[in-house]
Amino acid sequence: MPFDLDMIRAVYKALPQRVEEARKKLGRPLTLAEKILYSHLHPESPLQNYNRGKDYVFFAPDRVAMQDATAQMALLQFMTAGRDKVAVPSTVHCDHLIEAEVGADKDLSKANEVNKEVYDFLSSISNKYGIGFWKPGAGIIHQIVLENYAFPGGMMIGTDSHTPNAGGLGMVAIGVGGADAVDVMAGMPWELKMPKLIGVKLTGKMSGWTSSKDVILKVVRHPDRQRRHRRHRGILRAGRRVPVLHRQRHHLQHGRRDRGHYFYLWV
Amino acid sequence: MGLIGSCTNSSYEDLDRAASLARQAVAKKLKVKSEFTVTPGSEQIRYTVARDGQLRDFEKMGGVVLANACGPCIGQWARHTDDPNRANSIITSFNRNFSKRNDGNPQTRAFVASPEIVTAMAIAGDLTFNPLTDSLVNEDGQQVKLDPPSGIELPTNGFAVEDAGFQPPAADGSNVEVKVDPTSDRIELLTPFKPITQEQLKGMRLLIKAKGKCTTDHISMAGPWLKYRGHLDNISNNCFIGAINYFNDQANKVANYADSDAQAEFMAVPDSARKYKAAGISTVVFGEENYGEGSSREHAAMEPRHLGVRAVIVKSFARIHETNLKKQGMLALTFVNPADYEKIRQDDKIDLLGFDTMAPGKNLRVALHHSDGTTDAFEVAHTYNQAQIDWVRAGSALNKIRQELAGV
Repeated sequence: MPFDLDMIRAVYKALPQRVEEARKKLGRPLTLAEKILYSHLHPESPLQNYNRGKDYVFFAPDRVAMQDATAQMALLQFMTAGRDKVAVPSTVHCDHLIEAEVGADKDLSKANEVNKEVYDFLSSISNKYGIGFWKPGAGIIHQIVLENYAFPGGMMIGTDSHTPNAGGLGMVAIGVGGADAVDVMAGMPWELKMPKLIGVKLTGKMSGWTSSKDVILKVVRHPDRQRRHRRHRGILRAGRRVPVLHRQRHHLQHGRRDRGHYFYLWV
Repeated sequence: MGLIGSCTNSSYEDLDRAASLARQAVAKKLKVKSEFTVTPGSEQIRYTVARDGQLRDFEKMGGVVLANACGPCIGQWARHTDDPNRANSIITSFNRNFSKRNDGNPQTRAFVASPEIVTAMAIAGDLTFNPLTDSLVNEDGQQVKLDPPSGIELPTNGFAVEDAGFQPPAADGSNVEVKVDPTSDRIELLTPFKPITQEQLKGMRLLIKAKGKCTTDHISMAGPWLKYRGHLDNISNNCFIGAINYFNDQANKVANYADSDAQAEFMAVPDSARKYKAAGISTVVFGEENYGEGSSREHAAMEPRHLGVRAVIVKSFARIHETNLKKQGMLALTFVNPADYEKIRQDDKIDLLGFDTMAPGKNLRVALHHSDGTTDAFEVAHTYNQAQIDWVRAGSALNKIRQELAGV
């Protein structure tokens, strides 16, 4: 069972008190995103009111996911840190190096041949350092994370720009570079500019042909959003759940960490 | 051509709703006009929709099921086409729509829609098809319309999988050997970097004075080089090949003085770095504003470090790259007076002073010894805190962690 129940229990145990402390410190109600961010402050960043899009803050993510292209240098570096095991639950997913050509079976066996040295390395290093390893053909990192690892209220980083997919289950999930993954796996704090937030209120009802993907594409094209925020900035839906929309979960991201542009739409 | 699935649209409901259209195409005797592929997001979802029939529905309409992997969404697609120069359209349920992303062909126009719309468009073979109002002609010559898609959110019989493809790690990994093929050109174990010494910071040479924008892509180009991302020495052959040399406005052509102080030899940047490194000569990189912006890939810091660059001195840094340089145990410095950038000549011998007594908030000093015998000197600032200075003293942040764990 890949699921880390103990870690999730520990997060939930600490969550109410940390959220309460943050609410008191900031002196106002918090959005869901803020509750997650403030409850994941690293001890090196004291609890205080951080300016969105301005202040750099250290966080302590609950887990790390890596795809097979970015995992290579991250794990080669991690090896030199001299640890027996990764500091937080981590996984490697072999999804990037399989070329689609004819169909599933043939393409997969070709990939296993062409990328053997990479897969052997990733499999053995994962085995050694306590990292869950998802073989070629097991699936795409973000779908596997949704099926096995994502949990509401959690914080994870992933070495791929589509990591916010896990936001669909109500967690803060952010795409990073390999160096960030190394830091967290080695037990160092993870630095991020306090993200900006945008509230979006969705009203109305979807017709039979629309899906939440259409809603997102519409939101992304919204002139206000384009003018004020260009393409880069995630979005967080404010207010109550919209019942017609909850049937699908989607993410929207593509941030620039340096600019504090990071949130996504939770539908 | 229509493509659905990937990490973005692989929920049971996504596939079930799209399959309801595939079933309609068969039932209403519609000949599907476009090619169609399905990329399941995981073995679990693939197994479940194979069991419940949706995968068969796609195959019946002429769809091809691809491996549970990123595939066409990230350009891992050996697309077969009769004429690569013909403008063509693809519609996908993925989440990127820019040129060359999917099949590498600039003639391919990519459109993004929901899996249901992608399926409907593939059936119609026409991007102007509006399923709400338009009808299609079937094989019997009849006008038929597609009904709105329908589907259920979660499988009635639950998810299932035979072999999920998961390998749990060993409970005790101490005896597990990391497998690296010594002949591999793609994976190479790292040797921890050695700390910089004050001695190395005297008589340094200029590797490149980068002009204008210098992003992590200019420093470590992506594309075909990504093949070598697990092999530091091989990927270092792309180091700075995209950066523009201030002195000749060209990319990847810099002066090298390893053989002669008087006579410049022009070569590619990685070659110049390797030549200096082999001669035991340290190098410096100079740059302008927002140096190192872009993707946070660590190779942009590791490659210069590996090739013997000791210091990167710029007008301003992109924060993440600055931190990456610090983590790799290099000196990331900024001009106190940005106009000092103009003082650097390509045949200078460069000293960096004050490294031995480096402390938070205390500037270092650069001395440029020009070939005409004159000297320029100026101050450079840094943002290292004490912990980060300790990284540099240890050779890198990871070296520091290793020393701490070993109780050094």
